[in-house]
Amino acid sequence: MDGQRRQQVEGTETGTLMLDVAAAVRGDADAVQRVWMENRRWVAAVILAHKPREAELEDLLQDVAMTFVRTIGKLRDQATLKPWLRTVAINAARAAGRTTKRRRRVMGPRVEDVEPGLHGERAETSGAAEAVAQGEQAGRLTRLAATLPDGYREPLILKCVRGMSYRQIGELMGLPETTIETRIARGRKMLRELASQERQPITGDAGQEGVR
Amino acid sequence: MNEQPMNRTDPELLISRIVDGEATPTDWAAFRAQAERDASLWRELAEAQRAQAELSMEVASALSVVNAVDVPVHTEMVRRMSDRFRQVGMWGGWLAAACVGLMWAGGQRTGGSGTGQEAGLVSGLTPASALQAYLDQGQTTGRVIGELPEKLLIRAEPVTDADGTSITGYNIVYVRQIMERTLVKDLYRFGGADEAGQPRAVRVDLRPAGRPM
Repeated sequence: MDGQRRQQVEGTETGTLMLDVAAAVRGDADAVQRVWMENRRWVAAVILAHKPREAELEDLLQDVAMTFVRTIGKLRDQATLKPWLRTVAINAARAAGRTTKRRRRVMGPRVEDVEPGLHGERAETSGAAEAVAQGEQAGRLTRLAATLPDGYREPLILKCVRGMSYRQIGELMGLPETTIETRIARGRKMLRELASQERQPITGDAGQEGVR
Repeated sequence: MNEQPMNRTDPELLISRIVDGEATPTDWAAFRAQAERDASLWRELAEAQRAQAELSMEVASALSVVNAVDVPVHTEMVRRMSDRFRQVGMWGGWLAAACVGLMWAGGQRTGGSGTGQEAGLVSGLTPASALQAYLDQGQTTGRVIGELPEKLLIRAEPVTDADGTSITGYNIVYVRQIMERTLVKDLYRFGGADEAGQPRAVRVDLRPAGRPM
């Protein structure tokens, strides 16, 4: 690439990232590090959207990091980096799901696998279960979001990652922007309905202020 | 799953766009117009914003582990280096086998006794003088272009005296690089991998400069 063209490409955020991806594909260790740091947050969000509840996000993200560093050199088209990373993340999450199913068949459910209602009943006699129940409350919406269909859940979670626009989510998922915004709107409505069916609705005093 | 796009003025879509910070002035105008007729839309908007804030906080909390996960670049580089050394070792074996094969073939080509030729060439020569003889003869026939000045270091380990207290030298394992020329019928290069992940050989069609493709 000639100097002038390189300057033009480096002048944009996307251009700098593309140069980093190209260098990472060639095996530049610093570029591999930079590309990973640039993308790991949304990769983690994809894993979060697809992983089984009991699988550890950090472990799965580590698996994806390992796959990334080992196979980035085989990436033929730099523009496909994000869809490729998304596929790696989904595969890692699904593999964890298959492991969980096998374990359940062999050993039965663990305390954190059972339904939230049961957590409440056990909380009277078990401190550990009480802690689990409190954790459930703290992550109530992500738990409810986990019950949404895949196609609604993933864009909804991705939209919570700082700075991700409908367009960027569409590029990741290989879908038009209009489909993404429709899925997010419908997913959000479903989530509110699910939340309203629970004992503690998500609307509180603060939510009523100044709205009428 | 319902994949039908929503109407651009659907209040649910407008609320969602406002919550996500993606609403245009036109979206806002459409929402205000509808909210004038149905004030409960303001409450729905507030609820949606509150839910999104809560969900974003939960997701941010779950993603707090992200900064702890770096790519194991150093580990990977060490692994690749080890693989390369293993490959050099493997090719070293093939190189030795190839040399044996060439010597045998050379003996056959001369028409004489292979064993006798081999004995006549090798006996009485040191490794260095045998190598020099190979280089000289190879350059005469056009087979050998020359030896590269750089040698590739494979392994270096200290050698100690009998007590093991002081270093008397270093054992060096290295590769000499000798450039040879040969004539082949077809040329292939490795381009990508097949569906099993194995390197794929692609035929190369080189033409002399000036000839039409």
